[in-house]
Amino acid sequence: MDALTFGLTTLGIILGLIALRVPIGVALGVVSVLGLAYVRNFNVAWSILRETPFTFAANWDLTAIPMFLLMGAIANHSGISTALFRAARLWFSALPGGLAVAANMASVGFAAACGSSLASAAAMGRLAIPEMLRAGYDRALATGVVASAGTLAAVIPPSILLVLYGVFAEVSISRLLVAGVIPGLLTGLAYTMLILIRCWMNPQLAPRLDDNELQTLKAERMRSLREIWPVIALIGGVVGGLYSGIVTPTEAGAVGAALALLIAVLQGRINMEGVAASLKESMSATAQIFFVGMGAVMYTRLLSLTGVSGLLADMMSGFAGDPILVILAISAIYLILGMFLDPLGIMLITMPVFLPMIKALGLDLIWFGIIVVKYVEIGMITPPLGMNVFVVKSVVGDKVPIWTIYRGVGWFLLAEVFVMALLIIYPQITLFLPELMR
Amino acid sequence: QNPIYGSWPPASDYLNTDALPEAFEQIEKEVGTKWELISGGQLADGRGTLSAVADGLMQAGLQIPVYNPDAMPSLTLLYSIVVPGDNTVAVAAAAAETVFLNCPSCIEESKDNNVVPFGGFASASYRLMCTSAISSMADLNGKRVRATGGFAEMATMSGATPTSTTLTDTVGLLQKGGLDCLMATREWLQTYGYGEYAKFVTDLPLGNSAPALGFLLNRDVFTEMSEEEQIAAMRASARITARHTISNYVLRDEESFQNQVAENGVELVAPADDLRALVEGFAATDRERLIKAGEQLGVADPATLIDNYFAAIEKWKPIAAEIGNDVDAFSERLWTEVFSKVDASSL
Amino acid sequence: MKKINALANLLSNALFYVALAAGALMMLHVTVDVASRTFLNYPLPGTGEITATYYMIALAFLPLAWVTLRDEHVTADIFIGSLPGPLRHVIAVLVDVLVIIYVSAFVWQSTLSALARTRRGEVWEIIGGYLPVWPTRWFLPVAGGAMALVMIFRLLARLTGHKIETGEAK
Ligand code: NA
Ligand code: NA
Repeated sequence: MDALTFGLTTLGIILGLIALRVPIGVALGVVSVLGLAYVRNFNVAWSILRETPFTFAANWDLTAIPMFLLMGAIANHSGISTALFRAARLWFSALPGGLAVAANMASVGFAAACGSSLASAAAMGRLAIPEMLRAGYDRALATGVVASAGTLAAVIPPSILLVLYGVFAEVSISRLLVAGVIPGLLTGLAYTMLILIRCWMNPQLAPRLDDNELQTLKAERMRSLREIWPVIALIGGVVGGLYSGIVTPTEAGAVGAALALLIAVLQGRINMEGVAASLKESMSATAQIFFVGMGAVMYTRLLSLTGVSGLLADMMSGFAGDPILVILAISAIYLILGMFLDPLGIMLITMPVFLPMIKALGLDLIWFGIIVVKYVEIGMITPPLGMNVFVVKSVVGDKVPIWTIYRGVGWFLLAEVFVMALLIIYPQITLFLPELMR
Repeated sequence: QNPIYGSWPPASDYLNTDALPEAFEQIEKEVGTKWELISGGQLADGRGTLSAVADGLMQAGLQIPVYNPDAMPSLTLLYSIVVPGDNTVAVAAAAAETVFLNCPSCIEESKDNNVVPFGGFASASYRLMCTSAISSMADLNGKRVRATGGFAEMATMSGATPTSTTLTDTVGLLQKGGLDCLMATREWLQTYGYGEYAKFVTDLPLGNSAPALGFLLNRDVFTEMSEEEQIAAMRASARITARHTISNYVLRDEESFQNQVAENGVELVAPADDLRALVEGFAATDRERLIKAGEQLGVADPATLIDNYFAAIEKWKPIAAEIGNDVDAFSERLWTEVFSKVDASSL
Repeated sequence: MKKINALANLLSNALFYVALAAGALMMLHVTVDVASRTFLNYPLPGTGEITATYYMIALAFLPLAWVTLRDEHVTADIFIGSLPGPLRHVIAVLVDVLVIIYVSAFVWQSTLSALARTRRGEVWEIIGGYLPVWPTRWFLPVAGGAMALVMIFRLLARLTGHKIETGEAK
């Protein structure tokens, strides 16, 4: 069996298992173990099951995930992010789809303090989705906007993914982080436009507030700005700590969580129960995410062993020398891998193949980093394995089926087509800020 | 099925672009075996390489002994020794000679792990590289220095504070002042982009260390080889040692340093006498710590192992001077002095 | 069944609380390290290694039984919902069995790994010495074992029609 057939067969089995409601981590793990036993032997298969879980979790770089999740949960339980969403709601509620726009804008703000898209989607999901559903918003829109806007946290610094890319590509992490600012804001803007257009064309998606309510909201606008100082303090603390060199992007999660806790305690807005609830939410989410992540890494090892890198290289060899075709092919590959693998797996498989090509073509590695992270994040919201969608699903529980969330996300993928085209055609959008640093 | 080498350094690393492909070509020419290289940590990371090779997920890999100290105590002890001065070729050769001819426990522990410790190379001599000019102990006092192993000890003795930040965190900390210095090969200035911020290199070689095992081979694979194949594997081991030590750590270290001088204005700082004296006397003062660490890890006779290693270095110094930067000559001498004397069935 | 349910609660809660403590400690330890490095010029030795090998391992694995008891593993209910009830029940039982087999294999293998590491006394190098890492290798079989037991309880509950109580309002 060649690498392509093998890859497609195993994918088919994984999808089949997932459709039967096998936990996704188990589906990935079972197929990896049996696949390795098939292409090698059970010694090798058991070795993967024995070694991968510990190695995967015992990783300093990944500590940022539970810590950013914790920061988000504390911000929620102490009303820090409620104030942010409230202010966004007051200012944007007059627009068509105002609450969705508010959720999107609050995600942009939160992204400046949070380096993990999962954490951002979890935090905003708990706040904004119930509010939107209460206001009679379309369920797909309400959940889709949170899952999609969560991805901004990985593009706007701080970002765990950008740091990981920096490791692989050996480029300046600080320049890479700065390069994420404009593409992140651009994506946020594109999402806003999409919501406005959709809700303007189809008002039923997002029932407008009545005039009375709008008037009261307007009156409260200025006051709401005074209430968001805790968010400003949190973002300021995290960003300030990063840019003064006091904390590294990895440490930012833990320090951000401690800072959020400190702010909450100073405000007298959190008690022991709130702290315990924050820990419960964030630690159970971490275990859920890591359980899938371990399966995905095992599956990555299987694909690597069966020659997926060679396969990718072969697919690309026809385009060598033509940067446009190469980028288009790379885009297609990221979209496909993004459907099935987690960010770490995608990076492991693609970096060794693509980085030398990008270097050979003389393309900018910082620009490519933003493109890669954008694609990996798009993979976080595409079915069937869309981790951000899973997080939103865990927040809404049985109220919204997972397929409805994917349907809502679909529209935002449309906006992504537009954003990706701009980022690819005009590298200056990405490179403008890092060039200023030189 | 072709044997697979799973390499965790990035695809662009010299090991992946040159040293390994050359050695694999040599093997193919000699006995027809085709090795396949999968790089970038797809199969195992640095810490996971030993079990991935031992269990046969991949047939060979790059092993840094100190990543698994409990599994390879003797090799870890060897690797932890900072050899004063700047004689990369002699240190690489002495490490190979010690491991295969003078350290039964190195072979024993490799057997226990189902691996053969081939292809060890030595890193270039480390330098002190800082964001400000550092020449004396007084300058270094209270500075935050990224350093590991024996070099962390050296940093402590100089009055600095050693930290073990990750390679990626380091660049940001250097830029923003969270770190003042690092102790590493000069090549890192380029590879990890530290040269943008750590512009002052103190002109004092802090010492070499070895061996990183560039061709850790699964032992079942080795014992099942024909005699010719075993010889080809050992010749490839010598080739990797020679090529990576000379081309990457002697030539590219210097070359990338010159690049950094031209590109980032990196400059040399003359060391003061007290710093020089500290570095010169370091091996002697560090001996006690090494012996203790070796005992803690369970090395039977760490003192003898250390002595054998330093004796081998003295033996190889004149040979290294003869070899110069000639990779073929180095590879040949490794064969005649070391591998031709190894009984493959004892590995 | 009620007694078994209570035991499942006890077991999964106990492990979960250790994970929560690890999460809180991780936040504090890293923050104190940053503060100490910045203000006292004294980074706490081994912070990165302790975080990776102790806190991370605890909080990645120990909540698994708790998550399993609540059926909160990441799943996709795309297809199964449209099937007739009895068929759905059969598939659910088979899926439970598959999960139990997979997790049991994980427990078996991680026990072997923990045994080997314990015998060798696994350590990681940190500044100024070595950090013993072998103890946390045991978190994996313990967490996996608890998850397998809870999963077996879930299967029994499914077969007997018992309604699982987690002791908290949903
Ligand atoms: Na962010
Ligand atoms: Na996806």
